[in-house]
Amino acid sequence: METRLEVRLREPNPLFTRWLERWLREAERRQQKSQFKLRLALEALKSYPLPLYSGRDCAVLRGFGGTLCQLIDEELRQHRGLSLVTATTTAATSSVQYEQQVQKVVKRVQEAQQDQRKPAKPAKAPKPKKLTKKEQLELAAAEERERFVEMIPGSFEILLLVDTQETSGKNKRVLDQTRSYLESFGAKHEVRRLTIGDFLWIAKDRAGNELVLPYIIERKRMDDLASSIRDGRFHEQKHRLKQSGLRHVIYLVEDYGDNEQLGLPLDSLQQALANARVQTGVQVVRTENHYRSMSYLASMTRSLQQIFARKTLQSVERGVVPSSHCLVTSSTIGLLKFRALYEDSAKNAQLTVREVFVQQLLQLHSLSLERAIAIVELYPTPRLLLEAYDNCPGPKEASQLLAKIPCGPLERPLGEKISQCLYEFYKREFR
Amino acid sequence: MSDKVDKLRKQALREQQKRIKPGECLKYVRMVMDTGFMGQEVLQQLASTDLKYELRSLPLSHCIFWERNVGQQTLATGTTNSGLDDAWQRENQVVQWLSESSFLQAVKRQYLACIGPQLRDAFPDCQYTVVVPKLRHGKNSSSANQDALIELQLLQELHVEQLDRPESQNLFAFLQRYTKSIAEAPYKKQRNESMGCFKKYLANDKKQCVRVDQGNGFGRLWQQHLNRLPLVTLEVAESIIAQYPCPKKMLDHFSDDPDAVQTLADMKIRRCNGPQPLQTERRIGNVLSNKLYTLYNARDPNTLI
Repeated sequence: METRLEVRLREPNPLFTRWLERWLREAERRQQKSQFKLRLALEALKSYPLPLYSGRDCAVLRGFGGTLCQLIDEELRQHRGLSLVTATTTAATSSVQYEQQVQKVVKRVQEAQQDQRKPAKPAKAPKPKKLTKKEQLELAAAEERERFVEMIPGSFEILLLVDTQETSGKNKRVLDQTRSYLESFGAKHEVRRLTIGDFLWIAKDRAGNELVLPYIIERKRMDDLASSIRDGRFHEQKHRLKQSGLRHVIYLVEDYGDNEQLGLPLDSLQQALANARVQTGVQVVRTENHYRSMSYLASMTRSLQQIFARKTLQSVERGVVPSSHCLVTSSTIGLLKFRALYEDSAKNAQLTVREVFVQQLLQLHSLSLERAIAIVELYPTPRLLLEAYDNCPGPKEASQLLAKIPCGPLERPLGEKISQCLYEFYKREFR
Repeated sequence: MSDKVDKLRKQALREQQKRIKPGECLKYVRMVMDTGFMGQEVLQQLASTDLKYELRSLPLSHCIFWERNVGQQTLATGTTNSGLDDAWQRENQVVQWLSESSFLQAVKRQYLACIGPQLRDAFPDCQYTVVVPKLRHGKNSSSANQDALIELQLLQELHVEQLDRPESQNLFAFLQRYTKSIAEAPYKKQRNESMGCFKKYLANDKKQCVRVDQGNGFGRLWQQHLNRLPLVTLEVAESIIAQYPCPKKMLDHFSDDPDAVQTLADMKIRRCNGPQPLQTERRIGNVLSNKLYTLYNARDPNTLI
């Protein structure tokens, strides 16, 4: 039999409270406008019963906008210095471990309270210690990445994750609305920074392991859809979602009023959605408004909970996730770890030398994407192209180095003009 | 002799390209519909367009799939282009129409779960879309209906399209869109294959291209090149160009001077607004300087910038 521990702290966030009070006093003294928001935030913080561990966590409270959360995180970084250690746990789900973790939480809070009573900031933190702590963290992260995770039926719960930036309009008011709708449907959810997608589902066990269900939702209001199609973001985003490693990509497309005044004809948008389905293989779900969208997500959460409740979940690496997964028949499902997904998609947002090179080549008028790709196939980086120029017997040959390259499915030659242009651009001195 | 083969090959490629070109490709695709369920209104609307269709008795009722005219086999040497039978290849999209009453009945009698398996049996290895009319809200147990649709999507991995009323008009529009998508799919696929290795979709930068005419415009082109790096703002680019008016100058500096990266990093940025009290980043900085060095000296194209 388990007993539920309810830990109620008299002062759950003494650190942050003190800081806010200090900033508020400053703002009042200097007659700054920020005092009003600070006061609001302070009130919200004081009446919040749970401990918050970072500025980002505070975002759930009223009055805590992006800047304030960042300020707190900054302050926390300076203050905390070296006292952060992530718990490295094994996959065991024994209740003893859980209790130990609760004790750790309580202890950490008490330490924070104690730190508060020491007024002096430890400015002379011993620097060499920082390196080993970093190494410790890296070791812990590597261990977590390698570890095999298995969750048997009954040992986990399915949780909906909502991206902190999930809104059309990117402001906190809409996020609050999202959350209140979800709450009204009884959908258990958590707000988190997601590097990809607006909504995800994870299976979370007692030890804190998190596996991601193979569904990723991108919510788009019709006006957002129109503007993202016009500036090309739509295709990029579709591509990124397909490469996330999560098999089922779902676009949740929400009407914007009566869908007039979108910036693109409604027909074009509907065609784009049909193309997304047929050509890219993403699901498209249409809803009438924000409320109905959240209702859909809540229903989906329920269905997923039912479907996955009786499955055994196992962690798998990215390349290994099987492409055809029959949910009905398999009793074991391979899933990605949340942390792995998060890191992978964050990394994918970075550019490679090849990509920048292609983008640069495209800047020349009449150098089409087909041609740029053909060039980069032979000379994937600027350095390689320059070396090829240097290896030519003379400037005449170098200027024609690229002229005969076949481009596109029809294999048309690049042409002398472009070849010469690029040679002179890279090799001539001009002002 | 090989010249002739090459010529035939090029001809076949051109022919293939023509067939998949957007616009043209619609002429080579037709719908195949199950007899009996398509109402007169839809058939009339179809007849008024250029869309080709055929009615057949299909293994599963109320279904539609698509076929493409692939004509002669490409790259066959020694064949002439005479009027042989057209070869039709089946496409992998299947649509099934479910009327409101059928749907509600299936939910009530709990045989919604059969829809997926039946489709897969009749048309293996396809992508399936079930078309239902939009359910009126306020009907009792509408959340059960929503859940049923969700299960179709999740458990049975089917696409679901809900159509507004008037049904026949919207069904027609839906079929039009799908036909267009299917017709253009090979063209898109071809484009994506060459771009498959690129994470970022690159074609949206075309608006600011620079026309170069006999050496005029190189300066502008160089600035655009620099702007491709995320950290480079207008002022940063101008400061770099002030020091290195052409790429050759920068490249020479990198190769000649071992301290070039540091020199570049320490270069001051000329701010347009004059000196201001709270100026961070007066220098180019180590990060950007290193990125530029990497960009122009890396030999591995997958190096991250």
